[in-house]
Amino acid sequence: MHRRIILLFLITGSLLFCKSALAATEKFYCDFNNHRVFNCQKSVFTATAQPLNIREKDGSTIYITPQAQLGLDGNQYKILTLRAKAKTNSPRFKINFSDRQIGILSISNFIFRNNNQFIDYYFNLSLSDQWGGTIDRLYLQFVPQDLEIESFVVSPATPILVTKSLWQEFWAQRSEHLAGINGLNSPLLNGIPFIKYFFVVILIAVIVLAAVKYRDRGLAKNWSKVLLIIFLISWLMVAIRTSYGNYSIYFNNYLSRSGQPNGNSEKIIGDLVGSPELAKNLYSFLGNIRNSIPSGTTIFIPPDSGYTYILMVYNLVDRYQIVADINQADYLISFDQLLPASAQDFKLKFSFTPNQLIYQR
Amino acid sequence: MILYFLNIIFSLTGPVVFGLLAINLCLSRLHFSRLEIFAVAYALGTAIISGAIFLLSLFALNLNIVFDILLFALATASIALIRRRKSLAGQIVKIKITPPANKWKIILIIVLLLWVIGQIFFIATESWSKPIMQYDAIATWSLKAKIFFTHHQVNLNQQSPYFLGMHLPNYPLHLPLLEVWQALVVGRWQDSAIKIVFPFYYLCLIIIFGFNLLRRQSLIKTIIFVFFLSTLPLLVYHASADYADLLLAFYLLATVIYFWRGLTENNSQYYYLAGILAAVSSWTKNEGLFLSLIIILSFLVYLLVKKMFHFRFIAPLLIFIVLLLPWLVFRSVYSLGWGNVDAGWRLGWHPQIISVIFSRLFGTINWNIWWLIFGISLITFRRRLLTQENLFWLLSLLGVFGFYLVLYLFTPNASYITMGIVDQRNLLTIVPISVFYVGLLFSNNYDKI
Repeated sequence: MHRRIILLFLITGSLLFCKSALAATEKFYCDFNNHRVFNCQKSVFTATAQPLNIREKDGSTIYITPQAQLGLDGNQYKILTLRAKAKTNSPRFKINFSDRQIGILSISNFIFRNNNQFIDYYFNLSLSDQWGGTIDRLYLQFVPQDLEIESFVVSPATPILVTKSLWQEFWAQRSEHLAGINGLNSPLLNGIPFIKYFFVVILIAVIVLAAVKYRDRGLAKNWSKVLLIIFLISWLMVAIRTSYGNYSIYFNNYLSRSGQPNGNSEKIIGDLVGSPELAKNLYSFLGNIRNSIPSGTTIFIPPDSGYTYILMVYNLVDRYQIVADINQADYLISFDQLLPASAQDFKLKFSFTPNQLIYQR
Repeated sequence: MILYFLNIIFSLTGPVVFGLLAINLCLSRLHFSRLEIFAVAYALGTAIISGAIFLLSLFALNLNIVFDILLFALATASIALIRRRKSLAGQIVKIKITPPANKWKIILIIVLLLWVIGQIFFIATESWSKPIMQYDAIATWSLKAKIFFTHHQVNLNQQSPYFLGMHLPNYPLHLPLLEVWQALVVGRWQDSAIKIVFPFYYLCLIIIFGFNLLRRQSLIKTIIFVFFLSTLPLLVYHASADYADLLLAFYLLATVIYFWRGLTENNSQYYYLAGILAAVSSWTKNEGLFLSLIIILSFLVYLLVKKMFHFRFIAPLLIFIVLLLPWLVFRSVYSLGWGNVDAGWRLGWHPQIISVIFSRLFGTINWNIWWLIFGISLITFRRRLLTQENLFWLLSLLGVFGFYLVLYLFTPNASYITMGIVDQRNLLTIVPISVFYVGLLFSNNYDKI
C-alpha cells in the first residue's frame, strides 16, 4: 500500500515536473497573416485557419485571440516578441489581457527606421505590475495606419532572454518622469487633485461677488480690479507651492554640486529614477564600454523597451557606429537587456556586474 | 573655464547679430523697445543660422566648413552692424512707463518682479545643471544634433541608419541645427552648453510678452500677467526640458503679437515680420505649419470682416510660403511624410475626448488656475471680446482650438488624447496667446468704452 502511494506521488511529481519543464519551452503563438489566425493555441499548434476576431474602437483595430480560455501562466510567459512593420515614425499599441491593461507600448522607442521591413521587437511584459496570474485572453490594440503586425509571440523567459528586476524600479519611476513633458502630476488632497479645491473656492467667490455687484455700485465699478485681485491671490497660493518645490530642489540638490556643471549626469539620472545605484551602474558600464571596445567599430545594442537603449545610444554614438542589424555588428552590448536569439553567434568577451555584458562576434 | 563661458556668450550673441542686421536691413521701419529688439533678433538669428546650416548641408558640406562660412558671415554682419548702428538706434524707442503712486502697488510690483527673476534664475540653473535626460528630448531632438555634430555632417543618405539623425527624420530641423551651432561654437558636445538656449527662449518669451502688453496695459497689470505667464508650471518645466514646444509657443505668440502691432500701428512691415516668424514656427515643429497657417488665415478673415482687406495683406502669406519652400520641397523629394500626426484621416466621432480634455484642464497642476481665469474673463468681458483688434486674437485662438478639436474629435488621432501624450503640449503652444489676450481684455482702455 505504502509502495503504491509512494509510486503515485513519484509519478504525479514526475508529471508535474515534466509539465513545468514543457511549459518553460513552449510558446504561445498567434500569427496574424492576412488577417487569419493560423497558430494561436498554447502548446497545440494547429494548421487550421481560424477567422481572426477583429473589433474596432476609437478608430483603432483590436486583435483578439479567439480562445477565451488560454490559461496562460503570466508568471512564466513574460516576453512579447512583436514582429511588425512600422508605417509611421511613432506607432503605439496597447496590450490588454483578460480584464487588465498593460498600458501603452511604443515601438518608437526602437529608434532605427525599419526601411519598410518587418522587424522583431522585444518587450518584457513582467516589467508591468499588471502582468501575472492566469491570462485567459489577449488583446492587441493599435492604429492600422501606424502599424502592420505579422505576428506576436509570448514566450517564457529563457536564459538567452536575459531578464532582471534591476530596471523595474527605473520603469516605475519612468512613468512619472514621462509625465513631465506631457503634463505634471498634481499633488492629491483626500484623493482629489488639490488644484480642484482652488477651482471650487474661486468659482464660489466669483459667483458670490458677482451677485453682490448688482447691488453695490462701487464693486461694479471696480469689478475688473476685484477679479484681478482674486485671481492674483489664488494664483499666488498655488504658485507658492510649485515654486517652493522648485527652489527646494535647487537648494537641496544643485548648490551641493556647484563647480561641476556637467559632471553630475550620473547623480541626476540617479535622482530621476530613484536609484543612484542604477545610474552608477549604467555610467560605469558606459565607461567600461569605452575602455573595452575600440572606437569606430560597429556595435549592436538590443532594442529593449526604451530609456536604457536611448541613453546608451546617446552616450555612445559619438564613438561607435551603432547598427540596427545585429548581423552587421562586431560587438553586442547588453546592460541588463533582452538579447535576441541571434546573440548566440557572439562570444562573451567582458562581463561586469551586475549583468553588464560585452559580446564579440 | 573662462574661454568656455566666452564661447557660450558668443553662441548666444552670434544669432543676435544676424537678427539685428536682418531687422535693420529688411524691416527698417519697425520700432521696438530696447530689450524687445534683442529678443526678436535672437529669435530671427537662430532661424537664420539653422536655415543656413540646412541649406549649406544640402551641398553635402562638412559641418566644419559650414561653421567657417557662418563665422565669416558673422564677422561681415558685425562690421555691417557697426556701420549701421545709428540707423539701428533709431529703431529703438522708449516705452513711457508711469509707476503707480500707491506704495503698496510698488511693493507688489517689486515682489512679483523678484518672483519672475527667481523663475528665470531657477530655469537657467535647471538647464545648466541637468543633463538632457527625457526620452523624447533625446530621441527627437538632441540625438539628431549629436549625430550631426559628431559625424560632421547632416546625413542625407536615406539608406543610412543616421539619415537625418536616426529618429523621426521628418521632424523640422530648427532645434537640432541650433544645438549643432551651440556645439560647434563650444567645440565639443556638452549638454549644458546645448540646453542654455531654452532659458534664453523663455526669457525672450517674457520680454516680447511684457513689452508688448505694456503698450496697452498699466505697469502693474502687465507685471501681473507676466507673472502669470512665467509661473505656468508646464511652461517652466519645458523651459529646461530640451523640447521644442517652448520654441513653438514663442514663435506663435510672436507671430500673433506682430500681426496685432501691424494692425494697431498701421505698419505693413510688422506683417512681414509676422510672416517670417510664422515660417520659423513651421521650421520648429510640424504642427507649427498648420497653426501658423491658421493664424495667417485669422488675420485675413479679420481684415475681411472689418472691410480692411487689400491685396498687399497677402504679403505675409507669400513670405511664409517662400521662406518655407526649401524645407517643403526637401520633404517632398525625400518623401518624409508627416510622422506623428499620421494616425490616419478616416473620419469618425470621438466625443470621449471632451471629458478627457476637460479633466486635464481643470484637474492638473500644469496651468495653475489659468483656464479658470480664462473662462471667467471671457464671460466677464464678453462685450470686449470682439472690440478693436481683440477680434483678431479671438479668431486666432478659436482657429487653433478649433483645429485641434476637429483633429481629435473626428479622426483617429483621438487615441493620442486618451493616451495623454499630446493635449497638454498642444495647449502649451497657445497658452501664451491666451494669457496675452486676457491681458488685453483687462485693459483700462475699455473702461472708457
